[in-house]
Amino acid sequence: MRKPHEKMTDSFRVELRDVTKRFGETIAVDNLTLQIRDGEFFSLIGPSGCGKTTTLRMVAGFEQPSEGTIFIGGQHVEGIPAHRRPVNTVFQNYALFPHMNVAQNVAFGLEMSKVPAPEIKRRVAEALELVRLPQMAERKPKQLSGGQQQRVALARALVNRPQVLLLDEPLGALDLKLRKAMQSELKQIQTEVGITFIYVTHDQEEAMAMSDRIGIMHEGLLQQVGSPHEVYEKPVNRFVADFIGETNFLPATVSRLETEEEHPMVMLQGNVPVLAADEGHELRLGQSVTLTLRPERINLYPQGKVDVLKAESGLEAEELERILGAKMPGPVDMKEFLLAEPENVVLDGVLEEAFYIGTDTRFRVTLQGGASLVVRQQNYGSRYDLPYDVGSRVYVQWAAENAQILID
Amino acid sequence: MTTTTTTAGGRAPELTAPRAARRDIRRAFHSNALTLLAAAIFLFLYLPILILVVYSFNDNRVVGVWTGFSTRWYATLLQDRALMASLRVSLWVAFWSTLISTVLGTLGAMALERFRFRGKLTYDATMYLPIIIPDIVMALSALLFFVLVAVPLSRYTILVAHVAFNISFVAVVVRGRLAELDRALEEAAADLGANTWTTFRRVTLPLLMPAIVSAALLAFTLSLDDFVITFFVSGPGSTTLPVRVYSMIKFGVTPEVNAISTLMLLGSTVLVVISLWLQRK
Repeated sequence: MRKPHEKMTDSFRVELRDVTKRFGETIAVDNLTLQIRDGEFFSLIGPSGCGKTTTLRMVAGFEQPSEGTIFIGGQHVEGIPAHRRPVNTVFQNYALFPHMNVAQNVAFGLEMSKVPAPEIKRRVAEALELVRLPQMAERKPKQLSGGQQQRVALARALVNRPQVLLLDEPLGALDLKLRKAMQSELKQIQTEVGITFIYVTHDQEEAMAMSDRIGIMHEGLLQQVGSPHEVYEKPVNRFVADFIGETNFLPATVSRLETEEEHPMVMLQGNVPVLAADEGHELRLGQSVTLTLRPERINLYPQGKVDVLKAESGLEAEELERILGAKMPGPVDMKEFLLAEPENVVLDGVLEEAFYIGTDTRFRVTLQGGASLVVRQQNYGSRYDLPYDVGSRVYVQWAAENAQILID
Repeated sequence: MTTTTTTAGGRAPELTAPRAARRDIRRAFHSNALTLLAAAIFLFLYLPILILVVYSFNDNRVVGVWTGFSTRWYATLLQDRALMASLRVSLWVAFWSTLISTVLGTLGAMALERFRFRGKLTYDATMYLPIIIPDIVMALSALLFFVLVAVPLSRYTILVAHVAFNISFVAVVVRGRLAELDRALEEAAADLGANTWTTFRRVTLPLLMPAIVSAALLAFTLSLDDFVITFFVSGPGSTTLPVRVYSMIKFGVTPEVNAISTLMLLGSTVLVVISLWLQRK
């Protein structure tokens, strides 16, 4: 297959500028501007009806934008019908031609572009090899399993060596196990062929697992574009924070703009002051904001005096003394210990509920002041003897940078 | 039936033997009554046809009197020049009306199912009219039309009238299939570089083929069997088979009429069965 950087003059493989799509009164896509790099695995995600599929269909040429322009490979594609665009699509339900066998399906695109027969034969075999289905060439689509049909659809699109491959929820119809397997296979194939992929899904985990970058859409508007890391760690608004992964939202009020730790201070419910991270918002004193705080970034510790060194290392006192060659400090006050790191937020909490879910345990904790949080603790054998009983008092700790201020 | 029965739920001991027996009899009667009713309906529907078929093999010229099995009436049919001429007219009309209405009906179905245009609703409604309105109305309006435009009645006027009603049937059958067809298949073809015509030829048409063939067979049968409309718009020398049969029975029901009717019945049945089988595929 072609190397990705051949004949590439434009830095963006696909570019959408101020694209709007209206269906009658409804706005499906609202003033969307987006650049997709060459060779990138880009995912568009969002709940159903957010405009992601419409966006994909406009790139494919099945829908025309009401406003704005689309460029593919630096070329303005307005008025270019679907059949003359240098893109290929993998459809949600594969859309394999039921009256043709696998080889005929895969050959269709090559026949359309008048590729000589011997070359068609060779490339079809190559493509089926790529998706690991060479022995299925003579079968009809109906005789294949869902996962196999999926791979034929992929081969049928890739065999044409498109500039961009568009995938519309291609794994949606597969069961969970197969979906996971296909995810890594898709990513592997994409790396192998080096073609730009635009992948539409409502499954944020799927997008996170495969993508170089993700665009999150909601009600026709593009909310945020970034790497999986960026959109998870630095969501720009409440919708993104909520849609990507799981999070706690805590209502708060800005109480101090400047602190020694260079984080602003906010008041949680019940006038509990905490430090929080801010990504360049113009904050005002007294402004109402929301904190987003991931459940796995919160830690629970027992209250009172604890032999921290012993707990953290899991070793007996004598052994520790032998290794360190020093006298053990003995039990220390847990809160004092945690607050030694000035960016730590440490609050009193009460365990309200505990759900054991195998890899970790989910707790619902009520903070001092009355705010409620979901906390996830990995079940890796507790270092601290946590009183896991409902109703017990604990310290709830998180680093200030993990509680981010959202202003909407 | 035995006099003791066991029922689910352990209720059996409550039932005394005679009561259980009565219940069994009642049940048997109900199911038998239903079978009888069904049989009666089938008999009512098909007995006349059966009689017709049986008497087409009667050796005797008098229809009501059975004297022995014979196929001689089928042989005499072949010698009946007028009858053979009308058969040729029938087949000619059926063939051409099928061809024309299949093409036009399929295009109509495509237009209604795949495109949006002004007056679509009106077109949609009028498309179904020939199926709904009585034959006699169709016949009269067709005749009036031909008289108005001063076209002499001939096999061509029959053809036009048959095309007129066949289009509707073809459109209905093809459209049903088209509605079931995944739009994504046509999009996939376009996506792979096929223009509208190639998409139609390589994807839509092959997938519609069973429905189109089925519709054509239906059209052929309808054309072959039509009497009312044909009777009104046929001119001298352009008699179709049903019209010929009608004129034959004016002089009494003869074994020839029975024989030709049996053949028509057989032909239509075969065509309709194939048509239905194709629609199910």
